Order: sequence, then structure tokens, then C-alpha cells
Amino acid sequence: MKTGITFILALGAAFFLFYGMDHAIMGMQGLPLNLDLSPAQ
Amino acid sequence: MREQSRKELAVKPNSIRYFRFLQFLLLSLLTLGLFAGEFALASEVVVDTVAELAPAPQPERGDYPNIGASSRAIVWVIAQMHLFFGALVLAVPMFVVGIEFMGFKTGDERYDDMAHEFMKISITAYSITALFGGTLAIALFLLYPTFMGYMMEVFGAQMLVYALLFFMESFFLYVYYYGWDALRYGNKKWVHLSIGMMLNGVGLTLMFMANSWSTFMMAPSGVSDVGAVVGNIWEVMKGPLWNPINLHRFIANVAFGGAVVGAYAGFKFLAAKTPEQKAHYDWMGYTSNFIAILAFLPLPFAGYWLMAEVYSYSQQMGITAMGGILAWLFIVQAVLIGTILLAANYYLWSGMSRTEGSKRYQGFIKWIAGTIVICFLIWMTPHTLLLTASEISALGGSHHHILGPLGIMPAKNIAVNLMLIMTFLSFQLYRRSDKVATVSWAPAGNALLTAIYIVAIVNIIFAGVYYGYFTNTVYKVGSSVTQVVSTLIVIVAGVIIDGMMYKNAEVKYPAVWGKVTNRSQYALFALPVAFTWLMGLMGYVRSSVKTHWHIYTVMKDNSPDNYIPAIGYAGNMVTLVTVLFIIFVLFVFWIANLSGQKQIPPQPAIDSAVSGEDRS
Repeated sequence: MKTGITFILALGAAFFLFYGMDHAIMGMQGLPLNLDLSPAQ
Repeated sequence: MREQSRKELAVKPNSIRYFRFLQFLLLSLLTLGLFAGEFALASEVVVDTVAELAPAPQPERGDYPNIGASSRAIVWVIAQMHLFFGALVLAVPMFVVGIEFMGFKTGDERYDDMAHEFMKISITAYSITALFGGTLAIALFLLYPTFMGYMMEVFGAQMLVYALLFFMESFFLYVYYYGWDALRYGNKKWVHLSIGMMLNGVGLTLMFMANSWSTFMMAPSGVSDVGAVVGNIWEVMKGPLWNPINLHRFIANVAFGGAVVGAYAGFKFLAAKTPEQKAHYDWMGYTSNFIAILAFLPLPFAGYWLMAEVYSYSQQMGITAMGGILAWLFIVQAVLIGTILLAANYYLWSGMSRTEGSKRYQGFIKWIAGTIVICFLIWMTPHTLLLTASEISALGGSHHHILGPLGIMPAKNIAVNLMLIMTFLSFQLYRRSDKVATVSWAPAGNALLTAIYIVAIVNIIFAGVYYGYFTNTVYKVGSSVTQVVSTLIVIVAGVIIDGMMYKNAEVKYPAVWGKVTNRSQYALFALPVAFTWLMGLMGYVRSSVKTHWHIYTVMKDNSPDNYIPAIGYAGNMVTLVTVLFIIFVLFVFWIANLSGQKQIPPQPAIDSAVSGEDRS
């Protein structure tokens, strides 16, 4: 049970890390994204 | 206490002496650097006043001496051999200093012995590099006199600085190698390490200078549209492609050097007679493979930057490379890189048999292998095929309806990044095999690492498929950066989390060095062959993108060879230089082996007399 919760928390943390990275990297290149990661332009 | 301070006093004069020696070396280097700088600046004044408005000469067909053989083929072979050996000679001391430092810090003499043995290969290869370098200079001046005359005019005294640095390289190389045992312990080791650093500093400067000649030919800077020198030497050197090439060659050289010395270790492992020798060369082969793969992992990203800069300098040049006649070579490149990754992974999987602890991870291997093979097949899927009318009709169009989409970059970007992640996973599992983490947060660390792997892979596939196939081209290109960063996050997170988790881990299943299959050593031979072929092939691409120019847009090539050679011809040439290089490398291995052999003294005369009596 504890292992499962730890893994779900880790998965959530990793998701936010990569989600933020996608926004940051695309934004830096002048290619902003919407919240659902679709092109904002 | 008094005894200790007496000892310290006894050591002090020595340390001061070495410190002064180091100061002297650094000051000498600084003085030489200033002298070289002044020399280059003085030459600029001459260049500025004399050649400022003189355009680049435009050689006619008659200006190229005809010696009865293709000048391009001759220069091609010699230049490639010089470059292969140059790469090896520059790369080996880079990781040797690191290994030596590790040996010094840990006190483990095995590192020191291994580093010294690596240098043995470099020292023999150095003479061959110089011989090919001299031959190349002669061949270029003989066969392309007008072009070389212009290059001399543009680079001026920088060429002499190059020669000066070459002398310094020789000085540091010989002192570093032959002074190894004389400067082995205590403060003397610091002096030796400093000499190694100087050797690398000079070597890298040499490479950067030579790179500026190549990149000036591809993307000239510091000259006007007609080739008149209008900038100083620094402006001539720092063209748009200089730093991308510097980075790409620096990383590639280390990977190449690691692969070649790995083959040496494989050769010695197979020839080893005793378990001790086998253990030593097994460990040496593992270290070489580790260096080669660690350097190889970021190489595609450096290549990506180089090609992005090529496109931004000249779209036409970029399209010639990746969308025109040379595009097919990138498929061959994919096959070679796939070979390298498969061989490296195979070596790691075989190496896991050195420890019992690897049994915990063996279940992963088939999945890693399967992923790598699928990605390899996607990467080598071509987009545009040369087809007959009946083939097009059988296919239902010029592109296959399923395989066609796999031929474009988004699919290949996914494949490359996943192959790199899988290779890193193999490496990580290998590193974990002999240990058991003892930190309390190990389950959380493993969960985080697993989550990072999963989300990174999903992110890479999502970015490739969604932005690559369902949005516009700008987003397609931009998203490839997020894919690269995803891969880098996996690697960096893997190194950091494992580093912390296994810092004081229990080595429960110690590796038995030498306990590895002979078969695995052939992977160590496959690596340098594939690397050499790859370097030759991509060198052909890099040089060919200039098309019919000696110096792009500035000086036309009017020689009989002023066209991009056909791929079949280039393939034969690259194969020829690869085979030649391997033959020379075997010679270097043989020489390195020979230096360690001693003839048994002949039996005294009395023995033969006795044996003669016996016979009678």
C-alpha cells in the first residue's frame, strides 16, 4: 500500500516536472503552449 | 608531534620546489600565449595593409597539377588518416588524466597502471599522426597550390602558432609519458597531473585551430563577398560553425579514443595467459567502453546543434546535407549508430555475468533489447525510395502507407532518444548489479527514478507524435528540444539519485573481473570499426556540403574533382580508409605489446657443452 502511494506521488512529481519543462522550453523558443499542451499560436 | 612537524618540514622544500616548477610552467605557457597573440596581431597588421582589398584568387583548371591520379582521392585518404590518428592522440590523454587523478585520490595503483598503459597506445599513434600531418601538408601544397596560398594569406601567422603549439604538444606528451614513474607519488604526482592538463590544453587548442580552417571553408567569416580579408584573425576563426564543430569533435574524439583503447583491451584479454592478466584487461575493456558510451550519449545532441547551425547559416547547405544527394548517408549513419549502441549494450549485458547480483536485473534485458531493435529499425527506415513504375504501383504510391511516416524526423527523434535512454538504463542496471542500497529512502528513490523514466518516455513519444504529425513545422522542430531535454533529465536524474542512493552501499555481490565471455570482447572490436566508418562517412558529408566550392561562396573549385562524389564511390573510399586505419591500429597494438616483451637470455655455453656430452 505504502509502496503504491509512494509510486503515485513520484509519478505526480515527475509529471509536473516534465509538464513544466515542456512549457518552459517551448516558451523559450517563442512557441507558447496552452494548458493542454496544444500550440497557443 | 615533534616527529610529525619534522616530517612536514622535510616535505616542505619539495612542495615549494614543485610549486615553483608549476609556476614556471604556467608562466612559460602564458608568455608563449602572449607571444603567439602578439605574433598573430602583428601578422594582422600585415594582412590588413597588404591583402585587405585583394579578392580571393579564382584558380583555373590549369592551375591544378596533374599527377596522373585523383588529387581529391589522395588528399582524402591522407587527411582522413591524419584526422583518425589526431582524434585518438588528442582524446586518450583527456580521459587518462581523469583516470590518473582517480587513482591518486583513491590510492588504487590499478588506475595508475591502466592510465599509463593507455598512454602507451597514444605515444606510438602520435608519431603516425605527425607523419600523416606532414604528408597532408605536402600533398595539399603540391596538389592545390592556389587554394593553399589563399589559406596562408587568410590565416597568416596563425599557422606558425599552430606549429609552435605542435612543439609544445610534443614536449608535454613526452614528459607526461616518460616522466610517469619518476613523478608517481606525493607532490610529484601533482606536477605530473599538471603536465597532463597542459598536454590537454595544448592539444585542444591545436584541434580548435585546425577546426577553424575546416569551418572557414564551409562558412567563411572575416572576409568580404569576394574573399578579401577584412577582419582580424579572431574574426576569421570564429565563423558560425566553429563552436558547433569544436564541441562535436571534442565529444566524438573522446568516444572514438575510448572505443580504440577498448579494442586494445579486448585484444590483450583474448591473448592473456593468466587469470590476473585476464582480470586486468577485462577491467580495462570495461573502463574503455564506459568512456566511449558516456561520451557517445550526448553526441547526437551536439550533432543536432551543428546541423541546426548549418541550416541557419545556409538553408541550401542544410538541404544538400539532409534532403538531397547526401540524405541517404544519414540512413547509413543510423545503421552505424545502431550498431554502436547494440554492441555497447551487448557488452554491458555480457559484463553483468561478472557478478551474481545481476540476476535481479536480467529480466529487463529482453525488453531493453526489444526496444532498441524496434527503434533501430524505425531510425533506418528511409523516407524517399528510388522506385520503378511497377514498384510504385505495387506499393500504392511513392511512400509506403505504414512505413512512410516512419521515414521522417519526428519518428526518428523518438527512436534516437529512446535508444539513448535504454542504453543508459543498461548502464545503470550494470552499475547496480554488485550492490545493495542501504539508505532508508531507497524505495522512494527507486519510485522517483522509475516515474522519471516512464514520464520521460511518454513525453518523448507524445512530443514526437503530436507536434511532429498533428501541428505545424515550427512546433515540430521546437518540440525536438523538449525530447532532448527529457533524455538529459533521465540521465542526470539517474546519475544523481543513484550516486546518492549507492554512496555507501553494501557491495554484496563483488564483481569477478576476468569472468566474462570471450564473445563479449568482439563487441569491443565492433565499436572502433563502426566509429571509424562513421567518422569517415560523416567527414565526407561535412566536406561535400560545400559542393563545387573550395571555400563556400568565395573560392570556386575548378579542379577535375569539383563535384560531390557518388555515394558508392564515397562508400568505397570510406571503407578503404577504415581498413587502412585498422591495419595501422593493429600495428600500434603490436608495438605496444612488443615494448613489454623481453627475450630470454641465451643459454650459457657450458649448458650446450653439457647437452652435447649427453647426446654423445
